[in-house]
Amino acid sequence: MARVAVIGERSRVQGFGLAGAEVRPAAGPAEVRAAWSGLGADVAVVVLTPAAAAVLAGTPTGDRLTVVMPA
Amino acid sequence: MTRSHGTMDAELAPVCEALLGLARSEADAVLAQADQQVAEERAQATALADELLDQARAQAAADTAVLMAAEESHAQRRARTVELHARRAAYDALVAAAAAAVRAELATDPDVVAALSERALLEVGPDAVVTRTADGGLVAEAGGRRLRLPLSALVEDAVADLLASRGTP
Repeated sequence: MARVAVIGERSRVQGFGLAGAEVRPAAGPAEVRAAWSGLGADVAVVVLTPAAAAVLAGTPTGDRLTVVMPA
Repeated sequence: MTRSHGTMDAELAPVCEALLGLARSEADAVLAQADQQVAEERAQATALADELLDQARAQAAADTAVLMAAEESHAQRRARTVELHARRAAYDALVAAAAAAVRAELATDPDVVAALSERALLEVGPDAVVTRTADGGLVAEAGGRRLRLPLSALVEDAVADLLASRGTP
């Protein structure tokens, strides 16, 4: 079954855990890239904070759908 | 024969002394009894005061326990309500985000559009006129028959599938 993951600053992503999302707090570029590369194959949608999206700009998303939170 | 006053006093002195001793002894006994009674009453009063204090402490402890239990129960209900609201808000935000991603994908993916058109032609007929709707879905019309395939419904289905495996409020 497909899953939804959320990557970005802890304060902006941790609440999504209440809804069942896979939460990946990432404080800086290195952590954002590590969180992205560590996603499981079953993750179909990734919600990114604007900061995380900026880090991953240009990164191929493969079959995953990505969406950026409002600033 | 007459006795002098001095002689009489001398003869009565032992009697007086005996009477005085008796009076003192009786007074001492009365005083001792009074002291004992005071001590007993004081002890009873102290015991009663201690008992009343113990009862008051026990009652206060019981009242406090009841109040604390009620407050704890109330706090637990409030915490549960806050948690449910937070869970609901998080779920709504996640669904909105996931729906935005899915909607963007479905609206632009030519394979999805082709699949929708094929489904519309199957249901309405091969001569149906298929047009795109503003939200990215399709409408198929033929011989008075009309089929709507709104993208919003497809998005809702896709998001529901995405979240079905996770706990949702």
